[in-house]
Amino acid sequence: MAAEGIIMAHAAFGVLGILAGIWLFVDILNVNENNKGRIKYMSIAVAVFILLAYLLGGYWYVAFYGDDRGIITAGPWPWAHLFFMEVKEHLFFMLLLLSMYLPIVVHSNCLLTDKGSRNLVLTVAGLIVLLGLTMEGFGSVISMGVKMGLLGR
Amino acid sequence: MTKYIAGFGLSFAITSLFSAILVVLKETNQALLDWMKAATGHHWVTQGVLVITLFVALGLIFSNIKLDEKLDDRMMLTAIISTTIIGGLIIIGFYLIHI
Repeated sequence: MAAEGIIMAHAAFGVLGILAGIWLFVDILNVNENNKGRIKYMSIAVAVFILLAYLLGGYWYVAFYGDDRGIITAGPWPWAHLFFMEVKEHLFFMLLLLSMYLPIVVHSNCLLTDKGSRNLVLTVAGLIVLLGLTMEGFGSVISMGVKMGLLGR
Repeated sequence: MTKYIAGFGLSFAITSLFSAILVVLKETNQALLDWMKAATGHHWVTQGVLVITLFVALGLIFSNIKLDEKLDDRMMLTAIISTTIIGGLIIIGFYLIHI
């Protein structure tokens, strides 16, 4: 039960990180005096949510994934581990680094007056959303890999 | 651009490429993989420690060598997008070949 709770929390924090990234992206497109403070809070929220997704997912991967890996690789969808899990666990580092970089860019910039700075924030937030959605999609393929492995038994 | 945006931006570019290359190296070099497993008990945990430590360390170092005077937003934007794409393609390409 603990394993299921941890992996669901991992996915949930990932989704929250993506939503916070989208929120920040839209706020940057409409930046003004009123949402300046919210943009700073949202950049921290993105970093915290993605960091929590990383820590929870990492703990689950190290402590519980071994059994699932055996089921996937013995089943009809071995590539769910051999490609999707391997890529996901390593691509996640880029998502984590971008999420750590985002608050630095937001807090160090004058977003109201500097268009170049706004473009940099939009790029970092956009990459976070794209990578986050990729992680969620890959996670669902890995889950299906386990299901296919169990159905084949 | 401030010194922290320049410093940590360049650090991200280097660290993301380092992380992608480390994937290829550890998967093709058993001695490196064994060392990474022994260091923390799991090669992926070791990679995480190395990547985060390198990002923070390089970020702090680069932030103190006045990179903000040499780099502009467009250069930083190009570096971040290109290294994300290249790093991603290295990882995806490696596992596509070895699937």
